[in-house]
Amino acid sequence: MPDRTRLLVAAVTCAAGVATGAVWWPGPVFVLIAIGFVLAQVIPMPTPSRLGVSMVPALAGATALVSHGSAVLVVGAGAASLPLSLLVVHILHGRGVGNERFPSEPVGVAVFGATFGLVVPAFAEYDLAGGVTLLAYAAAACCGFVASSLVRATIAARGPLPRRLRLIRALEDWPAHAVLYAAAALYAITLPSMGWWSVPLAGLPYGFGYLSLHRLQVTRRTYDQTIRALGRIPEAGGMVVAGHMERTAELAVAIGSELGLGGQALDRLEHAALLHDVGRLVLANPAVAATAPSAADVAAWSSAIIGEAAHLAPVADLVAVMRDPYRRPGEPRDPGLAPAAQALRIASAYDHAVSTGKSPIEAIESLHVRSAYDYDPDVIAVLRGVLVRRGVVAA
Amino acid sequence: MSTQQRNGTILAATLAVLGVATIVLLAIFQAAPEPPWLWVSFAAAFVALEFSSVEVSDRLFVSGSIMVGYTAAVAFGRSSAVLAVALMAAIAAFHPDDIRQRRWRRPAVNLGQLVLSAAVGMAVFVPFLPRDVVTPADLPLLAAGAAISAMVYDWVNFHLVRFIVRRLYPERTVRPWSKMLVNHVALGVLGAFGGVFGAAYVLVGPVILPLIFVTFLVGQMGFRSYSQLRGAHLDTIRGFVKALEALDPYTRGHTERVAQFSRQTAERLEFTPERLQRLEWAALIHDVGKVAVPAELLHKPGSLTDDEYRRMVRHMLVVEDVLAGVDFLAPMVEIAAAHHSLLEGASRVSVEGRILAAADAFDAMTSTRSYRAAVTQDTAFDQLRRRRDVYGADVVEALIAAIEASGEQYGSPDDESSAVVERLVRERAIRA
Repeated sequence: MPDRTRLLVAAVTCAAGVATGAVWWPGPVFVLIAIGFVLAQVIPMPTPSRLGVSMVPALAGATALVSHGSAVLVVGAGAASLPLSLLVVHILHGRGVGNERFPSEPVGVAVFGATFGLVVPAFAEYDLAGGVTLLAYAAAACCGFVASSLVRATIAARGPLPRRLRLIRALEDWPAHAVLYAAAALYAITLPSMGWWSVPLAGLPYGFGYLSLHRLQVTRRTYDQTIRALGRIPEAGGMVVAGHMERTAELAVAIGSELGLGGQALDRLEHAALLHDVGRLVLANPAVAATAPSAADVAAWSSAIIGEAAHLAPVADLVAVMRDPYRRPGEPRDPGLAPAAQALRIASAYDHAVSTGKSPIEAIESLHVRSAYDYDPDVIAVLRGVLVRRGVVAA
Repeated sequence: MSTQQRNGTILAATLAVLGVATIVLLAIFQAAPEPPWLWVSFAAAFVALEFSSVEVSDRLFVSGSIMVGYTAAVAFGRSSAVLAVALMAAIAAFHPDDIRQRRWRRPAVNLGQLVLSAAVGMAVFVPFLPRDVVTPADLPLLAAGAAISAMVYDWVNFHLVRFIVRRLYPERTVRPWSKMLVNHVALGVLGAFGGVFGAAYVLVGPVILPLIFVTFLVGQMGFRSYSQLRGAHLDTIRGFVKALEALDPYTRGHTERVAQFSRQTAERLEFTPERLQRLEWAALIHDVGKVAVPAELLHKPGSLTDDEYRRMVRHMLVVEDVLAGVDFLAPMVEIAAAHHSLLEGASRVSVEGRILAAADAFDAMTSTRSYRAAVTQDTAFDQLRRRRDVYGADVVEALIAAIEASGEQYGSPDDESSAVVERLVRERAIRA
């Protein structure tokens, strides 16, 4: 969605929210809650998908419970705070309306508020400590989360992944949303009987969840950095063209996702692409270099080096078979060969061809020349589709 | 049966009897926890958390079971708090792995240790529990009492564990006190929150239990994934370093030995566990840069010229820059770089850099290289002492003391065999 359209949507939602919220909840309560929504945007919680989620769902949950399910207040305050939140985030983090969380969170909050507002009046008596109210709250939280994930997968964080995988990645963020909604409910339910003690009471589980997800995210980032750094060592030694590993990984992931790979298989493919040439370090030994080793030898050495790390054994296995032909003379297509192996081989060969001066279309043609046994024409077609969508080659 | 085994069995039996006796005494003086389904629920959570402690920080493991214990204590009140929690601790002593493998000594030891710790901790907490119904006004006292008694609980537990380990496994080391202090504070905080959760349960009702469960389940999952990923990360770096080092036959095993010498030296200099670990990792990666050094330089038979040495360092720096881009490795790369700068004549180098340089030099001297033979250990010690201005007298003496204390011998067995190897190496260099 273009930035101008986003701004327009934000302005309209904001005007509608402020108007309805101010009419139904005039006075300082509405202003305070709206300020809370702004501040909530500033403190993102780490999530498995690395996109992060702000504390807005927690504030929406607490507001809904404390205001006895008033959808108007939740949606109004959320919408009213939106432009200001974006401004604050922009000032603090240097990001504007293009940030990943916009507009999935406001939509999620709106769906949550509306669902809760619709379900709660169905009960004769609103009982904060009652199990039925809590069930209605949980159902509304699920609806809000799914809605925000759908929006995120549809228009936010465009990248090499297709929409289906973006939705799966967005849904992987459920733990962060569960912590936020549960901590909010803990606060709202204990507030009448425990007063301000409800803040630390809800804060500890929230803090525990935050710390665990934060540590997980930091470790995941460091692990990713380490794999990339190890993959760059042959480049630092001048044994591989600069940037080959990164470009191959990016292209292999795009091809792999088009082939239907997802989740761990895609992560494995990315790691394999980043490390597939690490075996070239063996060529530093002049005696080995003098034997003019083949690409298959390099793949075998790479696999052996990667395999030293037990956790990367599946990656080592993938690199070991990446040079295998997809079919042999007189035989049908090898059904045992993982599609990821062909995605990796073709991405690497394409990048190598382009790096040595060929144009993209010439590089694809060079792949077709060896499509009888080495390069699967179906996977080459997928590569071509990816390049066409990116405008690198003509349709 | 050896004397150590017999002592272990006697100690385990004594502790088990003490644990059972404590339970029996508590059953006489305290009422049974009511209602039973509530105790079963708390006991299930207590045992599950006790069996699945999570790594919240670098090698700091915390179990949420203590928090469940304090929540239960408040929920059951003065009349049955101690008995309720001591019974939970008794069940937690029987780990499924021990039962499966028919190991009885450890559950017996755990029974005594856990029941005694829980009973003492809860006995300290009882005076802080209100005589009648819990009210919001009781919350500050409950939180403070639970924090204090949780620290007592942990203190008793730590000293029992230390006593048992020293009796049963004299060769093992117990975690240093500095680490335990962090543990005490962490458990004090968890205890305080357990007390407040208990009050919330009494004031609001069981509706808060699923909410607490959801948040802690997510936290537990997150920490478990973190711990697994961290292990995978360290395993990846270690595996790669090993594989890259194996490419050069002359330096195979070098980094592992340098890491070992560095760790032994730093232990003598009383480094904290975190500093020790950082130094060990710096030692493991200090030579990774060599993989980018052109082969003609790395395998040159004979010493390098100044220009060749500068070229080699330049190549190594490129790799160090790549590794410095990894947040986790940046401080280790700094230490490794400090060690290189010391070799180039820098005067103000950190103690970690000096330890690494001394350990590296010792291993290089006691290993045969393409251009010279290994020297004897005594000769290497003499060389280190001559360069005490460079490495620091404290570092050199700590390294020598550590190697002598280990009883291991490095380098050529004597000067004669060193001379023979030296002659062979020179002949090879002349042929090349």
